Amino acid sequence: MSVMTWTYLIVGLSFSLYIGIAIWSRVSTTQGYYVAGGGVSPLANGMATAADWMSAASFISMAGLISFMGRDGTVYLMGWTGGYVLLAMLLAPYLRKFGKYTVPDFIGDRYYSDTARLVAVICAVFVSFTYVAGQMRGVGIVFSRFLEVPINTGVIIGMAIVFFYAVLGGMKGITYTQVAQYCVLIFAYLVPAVFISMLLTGHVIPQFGFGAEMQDGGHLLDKLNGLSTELGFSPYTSGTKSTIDVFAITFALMVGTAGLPHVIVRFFTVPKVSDARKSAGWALFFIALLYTTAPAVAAFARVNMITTINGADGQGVLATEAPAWIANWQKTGLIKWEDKNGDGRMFYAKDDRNEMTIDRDIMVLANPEIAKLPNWVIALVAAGGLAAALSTAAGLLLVISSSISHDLLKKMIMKDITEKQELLYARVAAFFAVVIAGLLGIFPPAFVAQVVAFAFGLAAASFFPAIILGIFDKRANMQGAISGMVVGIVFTAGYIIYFKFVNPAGNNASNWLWGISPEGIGSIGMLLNIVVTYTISHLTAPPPAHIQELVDHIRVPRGAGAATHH
Amino acid sequence: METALREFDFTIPPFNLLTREQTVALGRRIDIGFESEGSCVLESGTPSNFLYMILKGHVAAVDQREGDAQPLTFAEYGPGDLFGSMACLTGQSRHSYMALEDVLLWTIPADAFRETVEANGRFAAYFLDSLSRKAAMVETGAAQSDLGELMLTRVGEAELAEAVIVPADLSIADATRRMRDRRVNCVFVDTPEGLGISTRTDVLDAIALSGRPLTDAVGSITTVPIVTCDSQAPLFQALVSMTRHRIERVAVTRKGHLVGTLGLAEVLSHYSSHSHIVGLRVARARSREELAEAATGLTPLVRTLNATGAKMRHLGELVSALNARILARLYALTMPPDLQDRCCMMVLGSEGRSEQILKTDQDNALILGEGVTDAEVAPYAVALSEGLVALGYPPCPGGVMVSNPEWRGSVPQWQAHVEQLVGSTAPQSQLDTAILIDAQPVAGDPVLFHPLREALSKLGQNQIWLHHFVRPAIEFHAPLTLRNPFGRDAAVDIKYGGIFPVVHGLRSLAVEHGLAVTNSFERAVQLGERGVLSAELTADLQQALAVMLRLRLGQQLESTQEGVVPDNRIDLGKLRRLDRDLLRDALRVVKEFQAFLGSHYGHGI
Repeated sequence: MSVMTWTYLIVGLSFSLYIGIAIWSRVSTTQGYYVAGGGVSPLANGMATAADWMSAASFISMAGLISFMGRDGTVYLMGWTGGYVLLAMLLAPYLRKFGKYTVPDFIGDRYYSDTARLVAVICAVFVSFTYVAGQMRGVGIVFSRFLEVPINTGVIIGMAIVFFYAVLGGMKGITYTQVAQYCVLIFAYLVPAVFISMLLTGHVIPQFGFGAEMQDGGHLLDKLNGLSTELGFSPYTSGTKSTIDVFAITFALMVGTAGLPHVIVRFFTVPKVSDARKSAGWALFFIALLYTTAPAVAAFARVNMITTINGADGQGVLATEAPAWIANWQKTGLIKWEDKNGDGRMFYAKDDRNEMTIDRDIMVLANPEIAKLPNWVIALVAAGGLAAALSTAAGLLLVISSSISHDLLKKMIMKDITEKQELLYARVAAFFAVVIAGLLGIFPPAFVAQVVAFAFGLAAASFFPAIILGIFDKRANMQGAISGMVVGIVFTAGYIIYFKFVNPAGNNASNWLWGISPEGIGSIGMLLNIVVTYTISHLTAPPPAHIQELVDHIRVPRGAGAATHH
Repeated sequence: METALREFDFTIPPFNLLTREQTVALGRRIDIGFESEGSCVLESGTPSNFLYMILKGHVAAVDQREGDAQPLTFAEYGPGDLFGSMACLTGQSRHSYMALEDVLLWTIPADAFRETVEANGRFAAYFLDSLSRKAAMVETGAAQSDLGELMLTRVGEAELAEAVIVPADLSIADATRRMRDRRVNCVFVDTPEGLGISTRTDVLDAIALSGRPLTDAVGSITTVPIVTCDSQAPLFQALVSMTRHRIERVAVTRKGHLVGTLGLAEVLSHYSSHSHIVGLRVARARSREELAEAATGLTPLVRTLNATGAKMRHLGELVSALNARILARLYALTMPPDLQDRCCMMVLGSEGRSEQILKTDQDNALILGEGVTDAEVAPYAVALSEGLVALGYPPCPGGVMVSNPEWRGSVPQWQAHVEQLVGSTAPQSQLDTAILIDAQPVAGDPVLFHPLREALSKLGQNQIWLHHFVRPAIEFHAPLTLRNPFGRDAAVDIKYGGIFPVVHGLRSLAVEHGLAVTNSFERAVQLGERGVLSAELTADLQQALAVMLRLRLGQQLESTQEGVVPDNRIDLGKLRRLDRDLLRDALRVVKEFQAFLGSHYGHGI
C-alpha cells in the first residue's frame, strides 16, 4: 500500500478511536451522573497531561531544532522540561488551592485589580496565540506531505480541521481521549526511533543508540561532528551560544512555559491533591519518554539526511538518482534544490557549496522515509503529529476564545451582552485565532520564530513573577504587581523590538546586554519585575487583610490532621 | 370526499387512536371548509356543527368579557390544531374563534364526532382530559377549573365520616350522644322501611322547634330512604345529588355496602383547600399510624392540583411544605423531647429545593447540637428513617438518610466535611455536595443549620471546583428531533436530558454567586436580577423547567395509577401535540443553557 493509503487508514483509525472514546464515555456517564464518569487513575491522568503538554512543537519541531542547531537546540529541551517541573511543583498546587481556574483570574483576584487581570489576559492570549501558530504549521506540514499538496494548502486544511475539532467537537478534556492521543503519539514517535536505532547502531533503545558505536564503526556523535566540520558547520556537540545566553534562554523558556494556561488547567482535573502529585510524576515520566528520545532522533536524522543527500562518498547524489523522500518533500516546497554548480548533483553544506534549502520542521516526519522504513511507519508518524497538534490546539483555542469573550468582553468592555452573544463572540474569536495563526503559518516563518521568542519573554517577564510573589509573599500588593509587570514588559519588549525589528543588523553578541540574546532577555525582565514588585509593595500599604489570610491559607496546610468520621 | 379521506392525516393524535372502521366512517364525513380573514368561525357560548382542524392559516381563540372593551386573545391556533370539541360535546363553545387570515379547515361534523367519542373510550379521554387542561390554562379559580377536579376526583377519595348505625327505638338523647362520641354529624337509623338518616339538624329542629321530649325514639325523626352515592362515582356526582335533593350529606357505598357519609362541607373543602385538610390531619396525628394515614392524602392532592393546571413551582412548594410538616411531625413523635431542640433535621436534594412533587426516596441528614453524642441519637435516627419508610418514603439507595451515621454529625464535623468536599472533585463527593447544597432545615433547631449554610456558601469561591462540579449538567443531551429514525417515537429521559441540566446548572451558578435560596425557579429569578443570566434566558429557563416537570409529573401519575414504578421517561407517543411542541422548545432552551454553562465554566466553545 502507498504511504497515502496508509495515512488515510491510520489517521482515520486514530480519529475514530478518539471520537469513539468520546461517545463511549458519554454513554457510560449517562448511567449514573457523576459516579460512572469518575475514577481516572493517576497513571491515565499522567498520560492525558503528557498529551496536553506535548504539542506539535514537541513532537514535530523539537528534534528538528536539535538536529539543525546541535547542542544549542537543547535549550528547548531543557526549557520545556524545566517549565513543566516548575509548573507542577511550584505553581499548580497553590493555584489549585487558591481556587482560580485561570491565571488571569488568579492575578485579578490576588491583586484585587482589573488592570492586573487585563495585563494577564493579554499575556495569556498572546502566549496561547503563538503556540497555536506553531500547532497550525505542524498540522499544515503533516497534511501537505501526506496529502501531497503544497504547504499553504496543507495549513488551510489544518485550519479547518483544528477549528472544527475545537468548536464543534463538544466537550473538551475527556481524559480517555487524551490517553488515546498520548498512546498514538508516543507509539508513533518511538517506533521509527527504535527501528532507526537498530539500523544504525544495533541498539533497541534509541537513548542507548545515541551514545553507542555505529554498525560501521565509530561513535555516532563523532561521526556527526566530523560530518559537520567537513561541511562547514560548527561541531554538533559544541554550541555557538555563550553559556550565559544558554542559561538565560533556558530560564526564559522555563518560566515562560510554566504559565501556559492550557496546561495549568490539566492539573486541576485530578480529583484529589495526592492523586494530582502522583499524576504529575507519571506525566513527567511520559514526557521524558519522548523528550529523551528526541536528541537521538535528531542525531539519527541528521546523519541519515546528510549521507543520503551528499552520498556515501561525500560528493553529492545525482538528482536523477535522488532518494524518494527528497522528491516527495520537494512537492510541499519544504525542501528546495538549486543546482548552483550545474553538475546535476545535490549537495548539502553550511558554506557556498550548499544547494539545499531544508525546513527543519520536516525532520521528524521525514525521518522514517529517509531511513527507508515501511510505509505504515511513515503514516503512523503522521497520525502522531496530528494527535500532538490537535489536543494542544483545541485547548489553546478554548483559552483564547474564553479569555476574549468572557474576561475581556463580558467582564470589561461589553458588560450587558447576552449569553448567546457571548458564545457567538467566543466562536468568532476562535475562528479569527485559527485564521491568524494559519496566516502566521503560511507567511514568513522566520517571523513566527521571533513572535515565539517574544511570547515566552513576555510571559516570563510579566505574569510569572506576579504568580510567584502572589503565592509566596503575602505583602505583595496591587501597586507592586502592576508596576512590576509594566517594568518587566516594557524592558523585555523594548529589547526584543530593538534587536529584532529596529536594528536587526546589530543583533549579535557584541551589542547584547551581558551577552544575552533577545530570546533570553525575558529572564532579566523577570528579575527586574521581581525587584520592582517587591520594593514597591513594601513601600506602599499592605494588601487587604482577607487577601493576606488567603495567601497564608493556600500555603499552610490546614485541618489536615482533623479527620472526621465522614 | 375521497380526496379528503386520502389527505386527512389519521396518524396525528388523537386520530391515531381510532380503529380502521372508525377511521373510514369518520373520514367519509370529513370535508374542507374555508373562512376568510376576520370572520368568526365559532361564537362563544354557542354549539358547533363541526370539530375543526386547521389545514392552513391561523385562528385566534378570543374571550369577550363584559366590561372589557377589547376582546382578550386566549390562544392562537395554527395548522394541525383542533378546536370546537367542547362546543360539539357540551353545546357551548368556551371561546370565540376568529380567523386571523384566510383559513382552510378540515371540518368534522359534530354528530360524527360525538358518535366516534361514544364509540372509542381512549379517543374520548383525549378530549375530556385535555378540556380540564385547557380550562386550567385560561384562569385559575374560575368555575371551569373546578370542573376538572370534579371530573377526576372520586367520592372515595374525599374525607368520609364514619357510618354509625343505630336502632330506630333509640332515644333522641342517646342518638345525639352517639353522634358526639363518634364525632359524626348524623346517624343511620335502622327502620322497618329500610335504612334512614337523622342529622344533628333534625335533632335540633325536633327539640327546639317541635318541642319533642328527649326520650322520643330517633326513628320518629328519620328521613327514609337515604340518598347514596357509590365510592367510585365522581365527586361531582355527590355534589349534584346533594343539590338535587337539597341535602347536605349523602351516604357512601362500596359494592352496595355502607362505608361512610360525605358532607357538603367536605366536598367543598376538597376543592378549596384539600391541602389544608392534609396539613390539619398531619398536625393532629398522634401516632405514626395516623400520620401514615394523613400522608396518603398527598398523591391524590397532587393529582387534583395537577389536573387543575396548578403552576409547577407552587405545586412543588405546597407539596414540599406538606412533606416538611409530615417529617417534622414524625420527628416530634420519634425523638425524645430533650433531644428534639438540640438537633436539626434537614431535607436534601429535590425536597430541599421544594421541587419534590411525588413522594420519592428519602434524602435527609441530621445536625447534632452541642453536647449531643451520636450514640445518643443513633437509635432514634434509625427509627426516623424506618418511620419514613412506613409513611411511603422509600429508603435512599445511596444511603443519604439520618439512619446512616455518615449523614449525622455535629456542627464542626459538618463544617469540616464541607471543607473537605471542596478539596475533592471525586464523583461521589460531587454528588454528596450537590444534594447538600440544596439542604433546608425542617425539624428541630434551625439555628444549628446556619453554620452549615455559611460553609456551603463558600464553595462557590473555588472556580476549579465549580468547573468540575458543573460538568454533569453539560454532559447529558436530549435529542431535539424527538423522533427516531426508525419511525417509532422514542422515550426521552427527561430527567437526565432536561430537568437535571437545568437544575444542576442553576445550582452551580447559585453556589458561585452565593445565593441562599434553594428553589430552582427562585435561583433563576435571583440570577437574572444579578445580571448573571439575561432576562430572556431567565424567563425561558423557568418556563422550560415548568414544562418538563409538568410532563414528568403527568407521566408519573399515570404510572402510579397503572401500578408501575414511575421513572423519568417521557413516552413521546402519548404526548399531545401542544405538549410535544412545548417539550421541544424546552429542550432547545436546555441546550442553549448548556452551551452557556460550557463556555462560562471553561468546558468548550
